[in-house]
This record gives sequence, structure tokens and C-alpha cells, in this order.
Amino acid sequence: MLKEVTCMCGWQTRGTEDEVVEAIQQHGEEVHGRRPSREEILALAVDLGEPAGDAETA
Amino acid sequence: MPRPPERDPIVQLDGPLTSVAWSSAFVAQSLEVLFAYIAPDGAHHLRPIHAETLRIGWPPDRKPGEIVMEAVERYELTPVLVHSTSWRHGEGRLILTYVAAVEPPADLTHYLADERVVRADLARGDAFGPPPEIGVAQVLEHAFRHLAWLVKDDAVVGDRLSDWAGFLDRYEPEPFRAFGPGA
Repeated sequence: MLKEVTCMCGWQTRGTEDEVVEAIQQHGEEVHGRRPSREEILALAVDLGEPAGDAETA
Repeated sequence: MPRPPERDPIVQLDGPLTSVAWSSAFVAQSLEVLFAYIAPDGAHHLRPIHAETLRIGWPPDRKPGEIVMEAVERYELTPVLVHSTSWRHGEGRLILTYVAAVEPPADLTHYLADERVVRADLARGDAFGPPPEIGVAQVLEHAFRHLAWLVKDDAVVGDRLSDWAGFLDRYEPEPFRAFGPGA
């Protein structure tokens, strides 16, 4: 599933779960001084299920 | 998987505002929230420090107004009124813009920057299409013109934005003024 995530600072990232986790970790480290773990990110991410018409599933 | 403690979120103090399914291959929608408050020197826009405006994901099963109110709460602002003021197509998606009128913040979160709103010419399209470009100042200008009309036409908006009425008078089109009480 592809995801789009918005940080409180307004920064956004989109991509696969792996890409989003990597981007958030990099953003957190560079901008907010903290590199969150993959577990933290996935625990807080909202799972919305497979969207209809998703390029991965269509 | 256990959730991290409330005070140990993703980045610094808070987790992401939204996390939604996304794909470039289907029609996407997002919300744009313009936090604004009135000060003695006019309106101020509270924007996220790393973006021109706050763009948040809008899951198809959620009501946009509720998402906007959740954002107001996340930024620890006190809402006065939220109202959708325009929409546009950009970045491959439909963007629905909300103005979130809030009380002047006594203690602003470090995630938001405070900027005074300046007047702008509206972005104009042609008879069959939208303007080629629409800037944030133009979206704000359109939003305040919209509220300038509503504050006199809608009792709820007029009540909630009573402190804004004097400011919004500046955004009222000339023909409307001619029919006012002083005409």
C-alpha cells in the first residue's frame, strides 16, 4: 500500500511503506533532531486498507 | 505492536498529523487548512514552518470538517469557526481549502509560523478554465472575500465572527457597500 504522511511542521512524504518510513526517519533526524524507529512510525501510522483503484491492486 | 508512550512520538513531540493511503494512479483529494486570527494590525495566517500552507490527507470515509477540527486541536489552537472557502486542482489532486478562524494564540506551538496577511489580486481564469497559477495570498484573499459576504448573510457566521466584521468590511466588493445601511 502507498501512503502519504504529513508531519506537524507541514512536511509531506509519499510512497510505499518502506519509502515512507525511510523518509520520516531522515526528516526526523535532519529537521527535528530525532530518528524515530520503524516500530514507532508504523505504530502511529493509520492503516486504511487497500484503496479501490490503487495502482498496486488494479 | 505496542504503541509508543504518548510523549514519545515520531518526530520531536508529535506524530504525523495524517497518514493516508495514496497513489498517483487514482484521483486524490487533500485538505488545505488556513489557520487565521484577527489582531489589531489585521489578519494573521498561522502556517506550518515547513510549508506554505497546511496540507493534510483526506481519507474518503472521513468528513473534512472533522479532520480540520482535529488539526486545530493538534496545533493547540482555539477554534472560532471553520468553513470551506474554495477548491482547486493542483499537484494532481483536488484541494479543498478551509479557513479555520481561531482565537489569537497566547502560546504558539513551534510548528507554526505567524505571518500577517496582505491583500492580493484574485487569481482569474478564463471562461472555461481556472487560473494558470494560484498563490497562497490569492487563496487567502478569496477566503476573506467569501467570509466578508457570509458574515452578513449567515447568522451563525456573523455571530461567530463578530470580532472579524470590521476587518472583513475591507474585503467587501464595492457594489455590496452601496447597498449597506450608510448608502
